[in-house]
Amino acid sequence: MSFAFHQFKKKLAYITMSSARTLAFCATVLAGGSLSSCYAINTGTALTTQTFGPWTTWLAAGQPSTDPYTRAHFAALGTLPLNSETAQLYTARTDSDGRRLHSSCDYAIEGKAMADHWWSVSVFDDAGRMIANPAERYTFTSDTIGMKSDGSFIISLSRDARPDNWLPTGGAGRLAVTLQMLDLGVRAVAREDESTEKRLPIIRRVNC
Amino acid sequence: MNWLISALWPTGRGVAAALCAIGILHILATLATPQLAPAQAYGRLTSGVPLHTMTILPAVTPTSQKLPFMSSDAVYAICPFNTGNGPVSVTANLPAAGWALALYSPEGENFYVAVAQPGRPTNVSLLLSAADDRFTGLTPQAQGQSPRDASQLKLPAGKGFVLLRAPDQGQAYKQQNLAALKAARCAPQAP
Repeated sequence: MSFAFHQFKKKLAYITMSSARTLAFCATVLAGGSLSSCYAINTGTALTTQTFGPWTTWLAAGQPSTDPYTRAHFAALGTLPLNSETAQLYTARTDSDGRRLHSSCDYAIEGKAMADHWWSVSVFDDAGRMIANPAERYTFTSDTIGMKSDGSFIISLSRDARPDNWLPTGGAGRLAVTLQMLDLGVRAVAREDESTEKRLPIIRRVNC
Repeated sequence: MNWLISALWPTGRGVAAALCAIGILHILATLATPQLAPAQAYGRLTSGVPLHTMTILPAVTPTSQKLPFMSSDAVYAICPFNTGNGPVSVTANLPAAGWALALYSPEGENFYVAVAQPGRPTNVSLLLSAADDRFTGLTPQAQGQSPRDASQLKLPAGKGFVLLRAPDQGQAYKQQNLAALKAARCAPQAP
């Protein structure tokens, strides 16, 4: 009797161990596979995205021969980007110091005119929804923005009204700012050597 | 507890198998995402829009925003097309910088885009035809006729939509831009 019981205990221990090992294997595979895929699709990697300060762009956005990560990113996001060979879409979710953009803070987006591009700066909530506001201000374009005499501009992001180029952020919580640039194909040779990072606006936190 | 740790401690073969399985799942999840996305952008943008008709969408506002990150920096006109029953002709005038005409496949690929050049209007004339079109007769030139439009660009495309984008240039240009959007054409080519 005790021998049979001993055999049963041994068999039970073996089954338990095998099950635990299989469970651990499956959990590791599920977590590793899905999390790494999620990261590559949502955040991107050095192969699919390029980052300039707070701005991130997907290198092959909208292109017919795009990679599976870029295709999955925009399918999951539910957007239709223009072909990145002609139009670059930059998204910022942090300020230039790497702090998360939030509607409880005020920001200044400071940049210079980009004569070889048509461009627009728009503010959204974290999910890409426009932020409703009584002033009905959601975006500034290179045609509608008020430029300074030296060719620079400042866009204020804040809950409360600001003079000049103000984009209201209401109580949206976490923010996302997009910079859409359309290449007009008139780039001067002298500007070719100017790095993209230098040409993109900075996002400075004014107060919080 | 020690027995459990020692039982679960991975062997070299186990680690290799796990890495392979993680890689396979990673690839499958990435490839499946476009098919599993809850609402395709194509469907949301073209729902209720008639085929082969350039339709101006309402101005983008928080209540009418059809896609995430769709900005009010432009007014859009779209025309769903299907070249299954014959070629589709698309013509548009892009009067100023910021205007763009783009062709999308249902999968969201922007396979053609024309951007206006600053300082001069850009006329776009396209003939979309099915990619597997076969020669079914003599060309107009062979029949002794002049080609319909020498500057017309012929593109292979099955199904998709044309997106015409008029930038926000301020209130003063609103009517002018709407008129240019209305003047754009997208229709099956007359036989």
